[in-house]
Order: sequence, then C-alpha cells, then structure tokens
Amino acid sequence: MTPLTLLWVLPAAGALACGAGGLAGRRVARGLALLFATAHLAATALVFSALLKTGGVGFYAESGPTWAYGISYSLAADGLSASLIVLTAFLTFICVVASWELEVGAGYWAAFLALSSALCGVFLARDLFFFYAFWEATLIPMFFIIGLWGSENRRKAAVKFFLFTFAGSVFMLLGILALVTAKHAAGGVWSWDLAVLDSAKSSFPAWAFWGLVAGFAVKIPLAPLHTWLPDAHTEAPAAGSVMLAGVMLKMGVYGLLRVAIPLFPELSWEALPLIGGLAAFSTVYGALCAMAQGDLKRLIAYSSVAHLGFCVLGAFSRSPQGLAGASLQMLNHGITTGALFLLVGFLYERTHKRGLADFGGLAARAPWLTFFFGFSTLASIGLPGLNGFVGEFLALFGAATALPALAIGGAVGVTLAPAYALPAFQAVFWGPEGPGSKSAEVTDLTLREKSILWTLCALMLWIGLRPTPWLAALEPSLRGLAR
Amino acid sequence: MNALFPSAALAAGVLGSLGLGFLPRRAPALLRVLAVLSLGSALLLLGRVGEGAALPPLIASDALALAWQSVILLAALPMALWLDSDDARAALFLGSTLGMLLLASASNLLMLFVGLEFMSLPAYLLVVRSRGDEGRRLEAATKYFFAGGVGGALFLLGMALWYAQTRSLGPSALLVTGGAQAGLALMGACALFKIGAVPLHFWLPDAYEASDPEVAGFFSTAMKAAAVLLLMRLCRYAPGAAFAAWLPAVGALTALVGAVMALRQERLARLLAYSSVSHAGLLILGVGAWAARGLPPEGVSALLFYLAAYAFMSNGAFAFLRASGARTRADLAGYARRSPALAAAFAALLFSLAGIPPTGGFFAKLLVLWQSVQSGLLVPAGVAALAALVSLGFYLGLVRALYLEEPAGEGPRPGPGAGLTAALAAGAVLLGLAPWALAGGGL
Repeated sequence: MTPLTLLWVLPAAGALACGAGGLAGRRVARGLALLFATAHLAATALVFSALLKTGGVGFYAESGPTWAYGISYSLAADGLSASLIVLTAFLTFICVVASWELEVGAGYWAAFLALSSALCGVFLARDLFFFYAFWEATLIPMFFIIGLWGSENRRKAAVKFFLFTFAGSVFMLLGILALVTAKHAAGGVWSWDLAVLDSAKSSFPAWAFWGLVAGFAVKIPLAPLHTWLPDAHTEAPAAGSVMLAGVMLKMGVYGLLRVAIPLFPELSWEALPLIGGLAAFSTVYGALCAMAQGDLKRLIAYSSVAHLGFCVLGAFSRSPQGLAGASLQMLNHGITTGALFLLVGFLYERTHKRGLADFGGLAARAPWLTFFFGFSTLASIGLPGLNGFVGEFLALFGAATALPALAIGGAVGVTLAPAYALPAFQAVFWGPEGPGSKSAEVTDLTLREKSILWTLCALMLWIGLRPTPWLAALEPSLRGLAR
Repeated sequence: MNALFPSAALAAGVLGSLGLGFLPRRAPALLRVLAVLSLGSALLLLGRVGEGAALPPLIASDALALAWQSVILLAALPMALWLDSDDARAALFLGSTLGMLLLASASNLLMLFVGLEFMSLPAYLLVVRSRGDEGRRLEAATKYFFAGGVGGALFLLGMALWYAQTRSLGPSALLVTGGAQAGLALMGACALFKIGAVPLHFWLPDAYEASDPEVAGFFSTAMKAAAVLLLMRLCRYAPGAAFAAWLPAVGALTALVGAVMALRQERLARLLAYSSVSHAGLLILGVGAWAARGLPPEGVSALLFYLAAYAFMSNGAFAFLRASGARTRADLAGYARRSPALAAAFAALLFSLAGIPPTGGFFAKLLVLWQSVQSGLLVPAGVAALAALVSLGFYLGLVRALYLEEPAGEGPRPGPGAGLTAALAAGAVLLGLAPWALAGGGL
C-alpha cells in the first residue's frame, strides 16, 4: 500500500475498529479512536514533510489499475491537497480530544473517523469518479453526526443538510459526466483522470462548468445557496461543527481550484463578475446576518459564509496573491473557526445554553475561556499579526488586481467583521449579567481543554507572524492557475 | 434444443411443486428446496446454452437473452427462499419465472406474446394468493388483471398491424413505416404497462401493496427486468423504431412522478412501490438513450448493471418489510434501537436505492445518466437527476425514522428473513465497491 492510499484507508480502518471495539465497551472505542486519529495525524505530517522536501511540487502515488469506462485509481498530493489533508487529520484529532468526556457510544467515534477518511479521499483523488464517490461519502457520517448527537432541532437539520448538499452535487455529477463524454468524443479515450482530461479542455461544453460550480457553490456556500449552513452548523455537536466548518466547506473551494478553474481557464475568467460578485456579496451578507444573531453558534456559522466568500474572491481573481490568499485562508478558517466552535461547545456543555443573552460577565468567572475566545475572535476578524489577516489581505489584494469593484465589496465585508464579533464578545464576557444569566454555572477550562486551545492559538499566531513557509508549500500547486 | 433446457428445469419445478401438494403433510421446506433447485439448475443449464442456440423460428438465445435470463433467475431467487406451505403459490411463482425466460429468448412476436402472458397470468394469481386482507387483495388483483389485459390487447393489436404491413412476425431488416411503426408503438405501450411507466402505472402501487412483500420484490425485480428486455427487443425490431424517440421523455417523467408520489406515502409497501416506479423511469430513460445512439453495447451493460443492482436493492427492501414486520413509517421510529443490525442493513439498502456512493445503486444511476448525457439527452437527464434528488427526500426520511426518532409503543412484530435482508444489503453495497466486477467484463 502506498503512503497516499494509507492516508484514507487508515481512518477507515479506525472507524471499523471503533465499531468493533464498541462491543467491548465505550472506553475501548474511545481509546481506539484516539489511537487511530493520532496515527493518522502522524502519517499526514510525514507525507507533508516529505512533500516540503520536494519543494512542494507534489508527487503521484501509483496510478492503479484502470477499469471499465476508464475509471482509474489515481491519487496525488501536492501542497494544496496535502495541506488540507493535514488540516483534516489535525482537526479530527482535536475533535476526538475535545469530545473525550462526552457520554457517547462507539458510533460517534466511528463516524468521525469515517468522515476523516472520506474527506482525505476527496483531497487525494485525481480521478473524478473517485473524487465524486468520496465527495458524496462524506455526507453519510455527517448526517449521523448531526442527527444523532446534535442539539434540539438536529433531525430537521440533518435531513436538510443532506438534501441541500446532495442537490448541489447532482449537478456536479452531470457536469463531470459531460467532461468525460466530451473527452471521449474528442479523443476516443475514456478517462476520468484530471491530468488526461486537461488535454481536452477546448471541447468541454460550457454548461458542464456551471454544473460543477453549482455543486461547489452549495458546499462553500455562496449566498444565496447557503441556507443549509446555519441550521447544520448550529444543530451539530461542537466537534461536528468543527469538521463542517473546518474542513467540509473547504471541499467546495478545493473543487474550484482543482477541477473547475483548471479545466475551464477561459470561462472561469469570464465568470469572474458573476461568481466574484456573489462572493463579495457573501462577505457582506454573511456579516450582516451574523450581526443579527442572538445565538453564538449561529453567529459563527454566518461568519463562515463571510470568510469563505474571501476564499472564492481570491480563487477567481486568478492572481498569484489571490490564489495564495484563498488557499491559506482555507487553513486559517479551519483553525480559527474550529477554535470558536469548540469554545462555544464548551460553554454549551456546561450550561446547555449558547444565546448571547444567556451570559454576561464571564471574564471574571472564566478568565481562560475569555482569553482564548478573545484571541480566536481577533484572529477571525483579521487582526494584523494573526493568521486571518494574511489570508484576507492576500485574497483582497488579488481581487483588487482582477476587478477592483469586487475588492471594494470585500473590504466592506472586512470592516463589518468587528461589528458583529466584538459586540458579541462584549455581551458574553464583559457585559452585565441579565436576569436568568447562566454565567454562574460556568467553570473555567480544564487542562485538556486548555491544551487544545493553546495548540490552536499557537498556530494562529505562527501563521500570522510567519506565513512564508505555508505560502511556499502552497505556491507550486497554484502556479498553473494564475493568469 | 439446448435453448429450452433452462425453461425445462423450471417446468419440472412447476410440476414438482404441484406434485408435492398431494403429500399428506404440508412440507414448506421441501417446496423451498425444490424451488431453489429448479432455479439453480436453470442457472447452471443456462451456462451450457451456447450463444446462438436456437429453435427457429420461435426461440433464439442471443447474448441479450442469456444475460437477461441470468438476471431474472437471480432476482427470483429470494422469493424461492420465502415460499411457505402453499404449493400452488410455488407453482405460480415458478410458472411466472418460466414465462419470463421464454419472453427473454423469444425471437418472434408470437412467442413474445406467449412469454408475456405466461409471465403475467400467474402473477395476477400470486396477488390473490397473498396473505393480506382479502378484499384488498381481490381488488388489487382485479385492477392488475384488467391493466394487464389492456396491455395484452394492445400487444395483439400492434402485432396485427405489424403483420399486415410486413407479412412476417419476425424482426425487419428494412425501414418500416406507417402501420408497422404504429404496431411497434402499441407493443411498446404494452411493455411500458408492464414496467409501470407513468401514466400506465396506476395498477402498480395497489398490486405491490396487496401482495406479500416477497411477491412485490419478485414483481419489482424479475418482472421489471423481463419487461425492460421486451422494450429493448421492440426497439431493435426494425431500424429506427419511431416510438423509441418518446422513451427518454416518458422515462424522465416516470422517474419524477414516482419520486414525488412516494414522498406522500405513509405505508411502506406503497412507498416502495412508488420508488419502484421511479426506478422504472430511469430504466426507460436508459432504454431510450440506448436506442437514440443506435443500440451500442455500453447501453446494454448499463441497463444490465442497473437491473442486477436493483435486484439486490428492491428484493432487500421488501425482505426488510417482512423481516421487521413494519407496515407504516411510524413503525420504523427508533427501529435502530430495537434491532441495530437489521436497521443498518435497511439503511444501507436505502442509501443504495437513493444512489449515494459507495453503493451499487449509485453506479447504476451513474451509468444510466451517463448514457443519456452521451446521447445528448440533457433535459431528460436533468429531470432524472432532479427525480433522484426528490427520491432522496423520502429515502432519507426513512433513515431518519430508523435512527433519529424515538421508539414508541410495542413496535412491529418481527418475521423471518433477517439474514436474507442482510445478505441482499451486503450485495447491494459490494456491487458499489467493485462495480467493474459486473460492468467491466463485456465492455
């Protein structure tokens, strides 16, 4: 088994092991989950470091056998794929540690590992058949994560999540089929391999591009296709929200960067005013919606819509800076929003509340919680010196070189970010305690929780101060996309 | 003569099961063994029928016939394992399967008609001899009988028109016009009746609901396969059969209407019946796409794979109804807590029916949609994709009931067949993990 195959098989094996271990008891399953998540993180880190030694150019694993209709098993990891795989393994590991004390059965751990496996498959696959199969396979574990372990409205949210994202991917599938058919018509060869399809670029029908973009845009999500997101993120358990926002939204942007833009270089440039316009609209609309929320989790969910808008802006600007910003912002958002969702989760575990009005004056009772929340909020709104600033700045810079009007829209989004994040922070941590405040029930973070957040905040600071090594790892895989 | 050996094995089974009726004691196990033996030996004999074996002018075992006969026999196998002490029912079941085999290898219109009726007549009686409420059974069987009768009459009329023009009951190598084209269209309408195409599907939900689950499973898989082959044969009967141009539209409409109707059903058998209408739509679309591109072999393997996967999925879903005893959606609430393994099997079957990877159902839908995209049938493919989306709504609703809802009350009384459900579910998933095992060979 090549190292790349191992990257998606290992967590899948972990999921099976957890299921089997569940027969021996919950604690066994939990221990196995930690074991496999750690091993997976180590494996991804090894692959990533091997990749850095090649200068980030990337390498192909074995292209496996080719089956009927030219479906082939080919995996590859370049900087873009590998960084997202490391993010997946890292956040899965964090989720396992963060859920350590939850009263959940073996299925919980198995679902997270299965999700991690499918996500790694999406980022590794270079054959569109496998890409799509892994893409859809992510839905099943997440459906159960939301539906079984979420909060009150979990059932409705789980079904809505599945249906909406499936709706998008149906169009994506039709688009993929059109690509494969067009390649066959042009050259007489069946192939789903991106590298092979690349040679038939000029023969692809335009509607295939829009099919692909529809699938990716629902996942990202671009307003107005974002309506599934607030419910799913809010109702999922804390760790589920971390995986949803941290990794699953990135699938959409990754799909744009990996499939839609490279295969349709001309069309995606012509589509800039429309898609970039929607992205800029998302940054503003997400921020405005976040402002209106009284629920902390919903607020963070809408802020994700805004943040992912920057990624799309950067990606479609097709300038080196914009592309670098988009791909770095994907990692940033995973870390920062992951931290915020975990913190709200910790609050919710203690009080079963997460409304802005349910708290006040937490700074005096839980100083560590306050510190980490404040730190992550600042990273999220793009304070210079922290990671969010680098990604947003580069993405906006790229947008400004491509179409200045878009950058203006994005800039409005940037300025709105403090307007929703800081008042929320103020109300919860510094504001007066209202009647019925739950603040008294909040105890400060435990050592386990603190170590998770130290890790995440250290990363925010690291990327914020020294983004160069990260950008250098990403740059080679983005080179071909720039105009 | 070789070509008739598989059918002879089934005929022996029919006679044998009737003979068992004379035993002083009821022997359900013996009946089951007999039925499995007769289906199994038919399958084995099928392997020895060489391609091209024929009994001119009635029977010709071409590649299409051999492939379809194996799928039909496999799809009938679960029902054989369910047989109870009713010997007449066993004979009817084997007789109907025999009719399907004849239909599959018929090489002229008269033989097609004989096969069709041989398949259908026992089917009406199978509905009557089910275990459910008597009034409902009779009503459904009557409706089914009349629908089938109209279908048969259309076929005869079509055959007459064909004969009047071509002076032959065999296929035509030349372009045909006027009356012969109208004849083909009438016979095609009969095939659409049998498949359950909208708006000729009205008998189907009643028939499936009134039947025992295993009978409904048999109808929805083996009989559907035979009817699809009938449609395909008609498309090949003359170069450029005009009615084939309508098939994509009919298929897409059927897929969508079936899915939308299934959304509203509370009773599970009815829901699965409409789901089967929706799947029939995709099959018809597949036939239409195949015909539109001049009958290429990939189109055949796409349909064959679809039918094979559907044989697992639909038989499995109906087997679950029997094994769990669940009748309505409410019976499923929290079923995962009552019986985790059976619920997991049903969930896998539902995901496969919905076409979520990595299951056989996904690959089946993918192949058919792909065939339509290749034929340039973009609008029907889009409508079918929309139908897949709508149908996900009710499949997911069932998964939701299984896993996410709280169990209430006593719960349904379980029946036999949990093992069979699990085996069929495993088959449906395995087909998706290694679809090339089936779809790769003949290409």
